[in-house]
This record gives sequence, structure tokens and C-alpha cells, in this order.
Amino acid sequence: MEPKVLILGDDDFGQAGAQMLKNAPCRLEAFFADRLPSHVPRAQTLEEGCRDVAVVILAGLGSRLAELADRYGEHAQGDHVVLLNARSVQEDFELPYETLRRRSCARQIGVLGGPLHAQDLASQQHVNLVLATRFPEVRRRAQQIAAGAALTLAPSRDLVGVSVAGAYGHLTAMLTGMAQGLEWGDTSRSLLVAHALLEARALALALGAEASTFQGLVGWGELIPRASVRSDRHTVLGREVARGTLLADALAASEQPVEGVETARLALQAGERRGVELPLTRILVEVLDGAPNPGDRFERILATPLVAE
Amino acid sequence: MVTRSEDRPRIRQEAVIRVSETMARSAAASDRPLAEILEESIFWERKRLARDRNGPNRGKDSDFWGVLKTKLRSTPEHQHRALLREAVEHYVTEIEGNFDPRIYTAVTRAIPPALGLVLNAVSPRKVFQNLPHLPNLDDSITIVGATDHLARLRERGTVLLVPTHASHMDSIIMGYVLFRLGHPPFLYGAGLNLFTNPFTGFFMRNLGAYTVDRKKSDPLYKETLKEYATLTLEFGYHSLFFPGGTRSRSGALERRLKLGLLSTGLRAYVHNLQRRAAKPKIYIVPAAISYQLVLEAESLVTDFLRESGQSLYTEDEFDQPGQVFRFLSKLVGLDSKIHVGFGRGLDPFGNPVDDDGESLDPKGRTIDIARYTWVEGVPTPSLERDGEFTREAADQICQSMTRENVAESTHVVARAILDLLRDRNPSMGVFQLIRTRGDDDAIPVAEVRRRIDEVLLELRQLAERSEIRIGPTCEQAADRVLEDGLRRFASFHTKPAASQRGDRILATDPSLLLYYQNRLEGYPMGRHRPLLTPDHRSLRPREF
Repeated sequence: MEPKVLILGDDDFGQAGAQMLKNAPCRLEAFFADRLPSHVPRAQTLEEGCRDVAVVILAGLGSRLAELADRYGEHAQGDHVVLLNARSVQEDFELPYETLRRRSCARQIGVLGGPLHAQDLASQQHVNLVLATRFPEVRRRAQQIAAGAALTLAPSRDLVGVSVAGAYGHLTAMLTGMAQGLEWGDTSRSLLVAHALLEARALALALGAEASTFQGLVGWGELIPRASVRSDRHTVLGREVARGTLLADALAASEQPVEGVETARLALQAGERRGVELPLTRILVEVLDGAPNPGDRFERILATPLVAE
Repeated sequence: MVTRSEDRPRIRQEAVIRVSETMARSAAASDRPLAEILEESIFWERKRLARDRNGPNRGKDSDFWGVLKTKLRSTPEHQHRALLREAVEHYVTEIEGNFDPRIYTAVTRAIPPALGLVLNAVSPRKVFQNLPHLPNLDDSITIVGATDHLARLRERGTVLLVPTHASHMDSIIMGYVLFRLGHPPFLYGAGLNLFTNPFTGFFMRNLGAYTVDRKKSDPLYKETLKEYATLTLEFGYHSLFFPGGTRSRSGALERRLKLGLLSTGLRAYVHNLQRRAAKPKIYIVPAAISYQLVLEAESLVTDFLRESGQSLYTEDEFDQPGQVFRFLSKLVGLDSKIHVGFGRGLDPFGNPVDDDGESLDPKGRTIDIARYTWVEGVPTPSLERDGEFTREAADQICQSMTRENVAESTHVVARAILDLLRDRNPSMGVFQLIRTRGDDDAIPVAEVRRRIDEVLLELRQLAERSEIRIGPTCEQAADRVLEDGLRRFASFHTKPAASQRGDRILATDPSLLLYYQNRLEGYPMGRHRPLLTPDHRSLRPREF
């Protein structure tokens, strides 16, 4: 029998999952999924959705992820494989897999990272992602359901690295937007993104990640292309703030939550606790908080040699 | 629990079958002839025997491997499996203990008075002070933590007790503590050297120990040892081993555990599920043994600073009966305490368990842990998966040990003095500081007291959050803590870690200061960066 896959939640990741797995060799079900396409059958109850499930996709960001993990925890079982998006963090820079671990008995967890853009999915282009997990069953089941989708999964064991890179994806997008707002050229914009990549790497290393993770699909492969995406909600917010819009107004104007704002603050705090200098992240937070002359502030970063610690 | 005399041949037979099959399977999978595995064993064993000229069983081992080598040359390939079984059987014979329930009963009855007598004999002053009551080990050992919980778990499954390891005294202390708590014998893997030591040999041979020879590098031996330990758990024998592997050289709590033996808990559990055992559950119970003074501190810290794995097997204080005797005398004479703190039980996946032995998720909900082992709905062992679960359990064990550790005056005084030395010599790395004592190692007493006050405050805050335990000597004011710590330092070691001259405190032996302060490493306290690497195995590189 084909494995049952439950999508829990309906954020971009859940929608991407529903789209990608449309023709995959699995029985798809969903819960807490108002925004998912109608072709995905809904479970009557969460308990029923979790029964005999092989793979659970938790599709929520920020506090929504914590909420979903709490609810899922009531029915979680040790043999479930749970797939998460790498992008969101909680208080104390708690990474998504840690959020799930703190709220359920789930252990066989996979974190998906890498360049995942909604427009690519819509055009049915082949997607390449990194699956970070330490459990063979996660790899096996994920590969099994990916077999029928236009999806290639590159294996990694580095949950921390993939998660931090994912979280920094939002920061990179905001920085890109700010560079656009400041009407900087491509060179300066790219330089900012490269600095962001190094800061993500430094923080991740302090949290126990492997350096090599950032030289692959979730480092260069995920963060650098963000310099060219103009429609991302984080990019839009960054652009508006750099042009002088108050953060509160920019947030209110966004149709979706812009969790990267909080991620930036949490990353800065996490760096301070571990003695990791994150000058670009600090300036990003200052500018988000309305500090004057964002251009001058970012200029300081451009003048800094681009060297990995 | 079934008796050992009935189980022994079954465990032996099963161990031989399982190990030979595992090795044969892995050889076949990698297209490797069995002869190669046997040649590897012969190579490692001959190397060991050449190095270890005075080791026990040398003649017997030498003969065995010599004969096996001859047989291997003259035996056709299809008979190599029989030779493999022979080699495994040879190892099992060495590993299996001499445990005899009758001797155990007699010995455990005799232990308290026997050890009491030893202590009485070495400290006549104490004896006279307390007449007509004779001191016994109960005066020197305090047992804290989840002892009732341990008793309950023992009834519901098989317990794997995993204490910290600082001294060769540990196995004796744990044996005594388990007896005091009314537990049946726990099997434990004790180093071969403990069997040859005149003081401990008797207890080792009779109290349920099996031998672990850390000098053996042969993978076949390691697999046999692991399988033997797994089988004893499957047969329901509560077991004890030190997951840090060897005694902590740095004095710090263990941060990197040996996953091989630790994984036996999960292996046994999966096998129990597969054969539908009546009580399949294995409970891991962490414990911390905390000493105010450690008998072998000087040689251990010397080893640590030398960063030499080669010296792990050299003779130290424990191999000199006179030293052990003197240590015990001081233990009683100074009212020194050894604290044994029991953590709450964990399942082999690292989840906490309640008093009924049920595993709990982080929200306190009961979970069915058998499902962690499922592959297509059936309990199935998996090397990679189970290795990962064991690693996660190891993290939880380390955290529990950290919580059960007891801080005493020696640790606090050492910490305070070393902190002040670092303050006074900011440009000096710790390694250099220890070698040279810095530019100014005479610190005003008042300054040391102030720093002790700060350390005590931090420790008390940690203790309030149950992140550490505080011993009785640390419940006093700073000046008393200082006095107490210095008195203990002066009582036993060749050179005290620190001493007072006039209104100054001198770092008399900075290596020992490092050793004792390291017991507080890894706690979120102090204004200095940690001295040790996160695994507590060496000094942080930048400090050199």
C-alpha cells in the first residue's frame, strides 16, 4: 500500500508539498489546511489523520509551527517521520526541529532546506532540496514519496546548519530589499548577501553546525539567489523600510507574516550569548527599528574584508 | 531473576553464535574472507601481548593465538567459521565473571562490617572518639536523588546504571551503595586491572563483575564484549558500567560517552521486543559519584596535562595498597563525604520514565517506545538508527550527571583561586599558568574569600534550579569554605593544591587546582571562558 502523508498546516511549505506530491506515490491527507488546494482530502480529526501515517509534513512558521507541533504532539508516535521547513525560529533561537522535539515524542525528523520558490513550483520546474536528518528511515520515506515528484533530495546530517541557513534566508531577502530600497547596484547587493552568508555560517558553527553545509545547496545555493528575487515578502519589507517606511506600517501592509524581522533579533541575541559577532545582523535590526541613515550603516559592512572566521 | 548458574552456559552459547554470525555476515557483505578477520585478531592480540609483558593470562593467551594461527594455515576455508567461533569463545571465557550467588550472599553480608573494620583500623582516633559506636561506611557516603524511583524501575524491567567515573574506588562505592539500598547484585564490566589489585580483586571476582580489557584493540573482542553485555541485559541482569569509559583525567564530568557499551541497552530492548519478553524494558539510570578528594587526582591530572593516551595504563595511586589505606584513613578522619546521586531513569531513547516505568514525551504524555524500533510495523534493529538514539540518550545522561553532581569546598576553593590567577595573569594561557603559576601566585585571603562568595552565590542559584547539588561544606560562609577546602587539600595529596601563608593564599599545586575546579566546568557560571573543550577531554586550544 502507498504510504500515507499528512500535511498539517497550510503555509507556503504545505502548499508546495501539496503541489509537489500531487502525483507522488502516496496517499495525501491534510488537517488545519484551509489554504491547501481542494484535491487534497481532509482528515476528519487530527487523530484520524495521524493514524497509520508514514510521513507528517508540519507546515507552519514561527508561533504557528509551535502551535501545530503542540497539537501534533498529542497523537505523535515514535515511528512517524516528520518533515519540516528550515525557515522559522522561536524564542532563544530555537530551531524548528527543536521546537518539535520539545513538544512531541517525534524523533525521526527531517529538515528541508535549499532554494524553494513558489514560482518555480507553479511552473512545475524540477526542485532540488537538502534533507537534513540523522535517521535512515526519514531518508528512505522521503525518497519514496519524492520519487513521483519533480524533486531531488540531497542528504545531509546537519540539522543545525540547514536550519540556520533557512532562517537566514529571510534575513538575506530583507537585506536584498534594503539594497534595492537604497538603490544600490548589483555589486553592493551581492556583497551584503555574501556577508549575510558568512554571519549565518559563524552563528551556525557556534551552534554546532558543520562548516561544509554552507558551501552547498543551503549556503551558496539558497542565500545567494535571494539577491535576485524581488517579489518575496521579506524583500518587499526590506525595500520599504530602507525607503523610510516605518516597520509597523510595512508589516501591516504585508499580506503574510514577515517572521524574518523577529528572526533577525533572535539571531543577534543568540550570537551575543555565544560570543559571535554579527555586525551585519546588528545593523539590519537597527535599521528595522528605525535607525537613521541606513545607507551609511550598511556602507560600514561593505568596507569590511569578506573573511570567514 | 533467574540464577546465574543456569544462565551462564546459555549466555555463553548465545554470545558465541550471535558474534560469529554477525562477523560472518559482515564479512560476506564486504566480500571479505573470514580468515582475514581471524588474522586481524591474531595481529592485534600478538601486538598487545608483545607490549604487555606482565599482563594476566599472558601465557594462556599467547598459546591460544599461536595455535589458532597454525590451525588457520592448515584448515580449509569452509572450516574457518568454526575457528571464528573458537576465537569468540576464548574471549567470552575471559569476559564472563565468576559470579556465584552463594558467595555473593555471604560477601554482601560481610561487607559493611568488613569495610567498617578497615576504616576503624586505619583511623584509631576516630574509633576512640566515637566509642562505643564504630564508624562504618554510612558515615562517609551519602546517597541522594531518585533512589525509590530506581527501586521501582528494577521491578518493572532491567536497569542499566551509568555513573560518573573519577576513581577506581567508584566500583566499590557503587557496590556498597546498591547493597545499602537493598538491591540485588548488579553486573558490571570492570577493568582487568581491578581483578589483579589485591584490595579490589576479591570484591570484583565475587560481586558480579565481568572483565573488560581496555588494552584489547581487536574488533572481534569489542563485538564480543558488547554482545555479552547485551545478553546479560536480555537475561534480566541489572548492570552497571561507566559510560565515560575510563576515569575522568581532567576531573570534569563526562561530556562524551562511549556509545558502544551504552548501545547495549537499546540492542537488548529490541531483542526483547522481538522475542516478546515478559519484561522487555531497559531503564538507564544515570548517577554521579562526587568526592571531596580523589585518591588518584595527582596522577590523573598529570595524565590529562600530558595529553597522553599511552599513560592510561600505568600504575597509579590505586595500585599501591598503602596509598588506598591512607586515603581511607583521611576519608574517615576528616569526615570527608562521598556523595552518590541517582538521577531519574531514562529509556534507551533518552526519554524520561515515570515511577511506573512508562516513557514520557516532553509534555509528560505516556509514549509507546516500541514504535521507535518499528520498520514496517515490526521491531527491527538498525545500526544507524539505534546509534542515533543512543547518542541522544547519551546527551540526556550527561545532563542528568550534571544535575546530580555535588559541589564541595575543594571544588569551590580551587575554582576561586584559579579564577583569580587568571585575572592576575590575563595574557597567560592556562597551560602556561599551571606550569609557571603566573607572575603573582600569592593572593590576599580577603580576595579569595570574596571570589568564593561569588562562586557560592552562583552555585546556590544553580542549585535552586536543580542544575547541581551543593554539599554540606558549601552551605557555610566563604571563610569557612576556604578553611575547609585548604584543610582537605593539606590532608592527603603529596603537595596540597593550595595553602595559606600569613594573609596570602598560595597556589601550591596549580595542576591539582585545575583538577578540582574542573568539576564545576560546563556550568553557566563565572566571568571567564571555560577552560576545557566542550567534550571535557582537553584544554581549550586557544588557552595554550
